[in-house]
Amino acid sequence: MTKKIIIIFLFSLGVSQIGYAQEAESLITAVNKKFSLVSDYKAKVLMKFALPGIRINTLSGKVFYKRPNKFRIRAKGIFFVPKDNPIKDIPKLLANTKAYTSVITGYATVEGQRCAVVNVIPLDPNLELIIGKFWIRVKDPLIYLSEITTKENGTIRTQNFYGNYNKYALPDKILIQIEMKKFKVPKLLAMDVKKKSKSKSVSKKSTGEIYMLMSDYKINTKLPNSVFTEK
Amino acid sequence: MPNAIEVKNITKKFGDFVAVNNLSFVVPEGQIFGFLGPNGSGKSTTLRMLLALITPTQGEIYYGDKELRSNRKEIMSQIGCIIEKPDFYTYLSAHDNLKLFARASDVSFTATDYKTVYELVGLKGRENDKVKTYSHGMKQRLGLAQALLHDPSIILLDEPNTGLDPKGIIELRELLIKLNKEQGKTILFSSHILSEVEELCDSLVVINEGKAVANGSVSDLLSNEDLLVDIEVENATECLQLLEGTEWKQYIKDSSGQTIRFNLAKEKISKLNQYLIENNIPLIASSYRKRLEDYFLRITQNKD
Amino acid sequence: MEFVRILKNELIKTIKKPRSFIGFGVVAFICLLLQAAFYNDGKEILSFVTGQLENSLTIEGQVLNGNLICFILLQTLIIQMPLLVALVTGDLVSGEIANGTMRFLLTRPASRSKILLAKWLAGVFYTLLLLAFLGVLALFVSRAIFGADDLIHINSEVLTVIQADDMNWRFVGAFGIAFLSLTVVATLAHFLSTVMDNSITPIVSTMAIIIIFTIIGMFDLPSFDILQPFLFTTHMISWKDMFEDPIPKADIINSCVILFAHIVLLLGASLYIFNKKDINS
Repeated sequence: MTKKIIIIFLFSLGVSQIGYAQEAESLITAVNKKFSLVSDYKAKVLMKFALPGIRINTLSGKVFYKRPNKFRIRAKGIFFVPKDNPIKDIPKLLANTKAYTSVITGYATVEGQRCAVVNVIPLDPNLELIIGKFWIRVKDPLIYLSEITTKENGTIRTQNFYGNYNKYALPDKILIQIEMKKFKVPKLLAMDVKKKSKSKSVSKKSTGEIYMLMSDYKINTKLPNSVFTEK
Repeated sequence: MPNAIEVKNITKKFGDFVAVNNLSFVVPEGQIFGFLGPNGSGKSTTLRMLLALITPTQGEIYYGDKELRSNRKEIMSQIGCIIEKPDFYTYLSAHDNLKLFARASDVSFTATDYKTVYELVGLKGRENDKVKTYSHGMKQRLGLAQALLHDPSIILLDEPNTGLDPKGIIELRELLIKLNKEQGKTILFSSHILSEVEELCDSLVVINEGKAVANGSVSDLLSNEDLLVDIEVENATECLQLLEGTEWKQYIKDSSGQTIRFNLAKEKISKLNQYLIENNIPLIASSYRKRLEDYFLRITQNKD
Repeated sequence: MEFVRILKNELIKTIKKPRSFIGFGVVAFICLLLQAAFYNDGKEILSFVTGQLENSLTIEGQVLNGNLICFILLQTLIIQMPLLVALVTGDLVSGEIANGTMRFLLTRPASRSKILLAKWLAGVFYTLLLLAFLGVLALFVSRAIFGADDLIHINSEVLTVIQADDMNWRFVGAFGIAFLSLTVVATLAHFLSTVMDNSITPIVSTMAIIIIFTIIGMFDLPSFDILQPFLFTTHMISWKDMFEDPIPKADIINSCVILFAHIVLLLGASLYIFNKKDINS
């Protein structure tokens, strides 16, 4: 009897796993469908930075995107963007469904929305990507949270806040968190003879945040390629 | 007659070394005053104290009735000077140098005024050349120009003849006489050319080892001085034999070859010459050394 | 009016002196040399600092721009500018004494104090001219070559991006503080010039003092901690505070007060010594 219970349990676990994988695929398919509605877009952006060891003012600019992988932020002055840009990379990653497997590992609530936690694991172990984790809303799928882990740059966490452009999976606000070392230069090189060392023990690794407030999306306006290259 | 300069008991010590020791003298107004002393006697130090370049350790200096340290600005506006060799800004022209000094002395010169000065000191045509191209004599002339720029009533000159050619020396002498006699300027004048001093100066002071060893009018100081008279004869032996037993023997100093040297008052020279001629001693030549030279050497070497 | 005349004389002498042109030549050479180097190899040079960020971030915008080049050139203030200033100001008094022109100058009616002050002012004016020349070359020529964009300012603890629109007034402040710093150097050289009788020793002594004080300021040793706040070399780089965000106003004011105090003390000492000095040459 016990044997039977175990067999039934394992069978249903297997079935459920298959069910989770199928559900993950359908969620991703739904997200990709929304992504495919956007060939290109431009939008206004207000960027705020909270990067360890870096002080930079809020600045405004414009964001340009063109499928599959063209992305540019144009703003007056100097600013920082993540080296692995999730805004550009996630649609491209998820579009190539044959290159990865996906499975739901659980459920969570993000921004009051019930989301499935979908792990995306590349089939090719030589790729830069180790694992992608996505919190996708179950009802009317949208990616609310993502964690992309790469070999070289650690984990980039992106949180999306949606408003008027749900239909296109375009968020109103994006919060990107990146692992980075605290910026430090020797006193002598910085010619910092006046300054006394304020902190004796400083953590080398910490998290930087870039907050982007998006507005005034202009979608599918057939952006020329020159927008991404000219100075 | 008021005194242009009065030096009262000035002393200057550099550490333990006493360069000037309780020196006093007066420079009467309107005179050309000689300031003499051998090298290292304290002459330069005294001149620098007179110009407030050096502060006396003790003593006071008066210009008229005004003490130097308390009235420096007023006094210096009335003094023109050359101290040691004249030095200028060699990267500037002579004209630029003079303009600098004129501005420092609050003197406004027109182009004509400058032209007159250059003509007066013999630098006409060279005023726009850089001073680094000047010879020593030309610098001396330029030095004179800067000393006279502001029409001072007192002129202090430290060896102004140095580097001048004979023509320049004569021109300088004539200029100083003119400045003194026609314009009433008081001139304190130091030189190693004692003939010039004897000729030009009304009075003088001689210092040695920081102290005054002689002070007064030239005529008074030299009135009792005998001359060194050299008589050159054809036969000195015959001449000496003639003079043996006469009053002239006491004046014989020494003899060498055909020349016999006498210590004589000036008025006796003609009488000696006449005596020799009357006694058939053929004279070749008769000359006498400058009195001041002898006087100077005597008093500065402590001879009597 | 007398002082104005004397000052005019001193300005003419200082400007026309051949050695005064050396400073301008050296500044021009260094600026143009560094600008050429950055034009050719700027990105490689910058990657030494920005490299540690490029693991996780991409820097957008024109990092290598005229504002950054000007900022880098200002760093040379600690090295060659004090020497070039001392080269002229260290000669103002002792040079004239050695040349013999001082005795002619001091036999004019003007007081020694006025003459010395005029010389000091002429030295300060020369410092201002030299710094302005550096400013024109470092800022305007750099901007003409490299353009103008935000400035990445680095100290040992934080990297600050300062917006281009904010740069002009910061540079004005920085140059102002730099001028005060170099005035201290000029006053120090001027003071040493009143003490010594040749023109080389004040210049060498000024540089020696700057080097020694800078070394003392660099080391975090308890023995030096008491001295460091009062050394003028500690405050000579206060101009960099103009590029902090927020600007540490209290620190800047403190530095300016210390620098100003140095000027007053050194100038006062110069006046005292010069008025008592025997001119023997």
